[in-house]
Amino acid sequence: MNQPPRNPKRSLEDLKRSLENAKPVVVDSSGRLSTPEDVAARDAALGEKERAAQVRVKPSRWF
Amino acid sequence: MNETILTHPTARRLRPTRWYAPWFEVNRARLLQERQVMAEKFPQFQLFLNGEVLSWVGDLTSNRGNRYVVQVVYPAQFPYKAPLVYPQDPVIQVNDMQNPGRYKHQYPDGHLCLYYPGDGTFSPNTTAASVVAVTAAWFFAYESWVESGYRSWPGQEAPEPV
Repeated sequence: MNQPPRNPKRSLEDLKRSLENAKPVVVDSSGRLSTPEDVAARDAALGEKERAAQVRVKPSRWF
Repeated sequence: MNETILTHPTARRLRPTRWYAPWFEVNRARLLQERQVMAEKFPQFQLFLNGEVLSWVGDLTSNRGNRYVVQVVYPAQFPYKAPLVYPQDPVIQVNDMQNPGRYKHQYPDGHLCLYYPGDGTFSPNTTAASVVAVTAAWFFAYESWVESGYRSWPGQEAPEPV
């Protein structure tokens, strides 16, 4: 336990460097990690699907 | 010989297998719990992934108004080993005045000594939010120690410097 200290600045620099390469992630409702870009792409795809579903709705004649 | 193995129909179906999965892929319920408590208690923290290292990064402000950016790193053995906290900004080195060349309440790689190992402070049920809360207490003690002229650290101390 009683070890001489290593250079904490160096290990912190390593950490900072690793953080630069790290991706921000979010946890979705199923407990999976995904990037915000994945979530945005999924939402966009879902939006397209909804739009496509709307297009498929036949126009109604109200009179 | 190799050719025989490679052309065997079974060999073609073999895929490279990863024999190890990080804790957050194995234990999704626990990851959801970690997300929930962190969002509730420390919403300023953001989750980062680098390879298989998952960590929260965010800031804490002490009651003296000082701001500390910390990185809370989940070890590979989580939840059987507590998350490690590295102060990122500012860089903190707590040099032990009684034991020159050694750190006080800080490990050689710079992560904070938040509890005496084996004292039961942390268990597998302890979340990152609890670790961040103890980190806030650590900063309070650190600032008190600086104010005392590097003489007294408030609270209990381990008999051996770590």
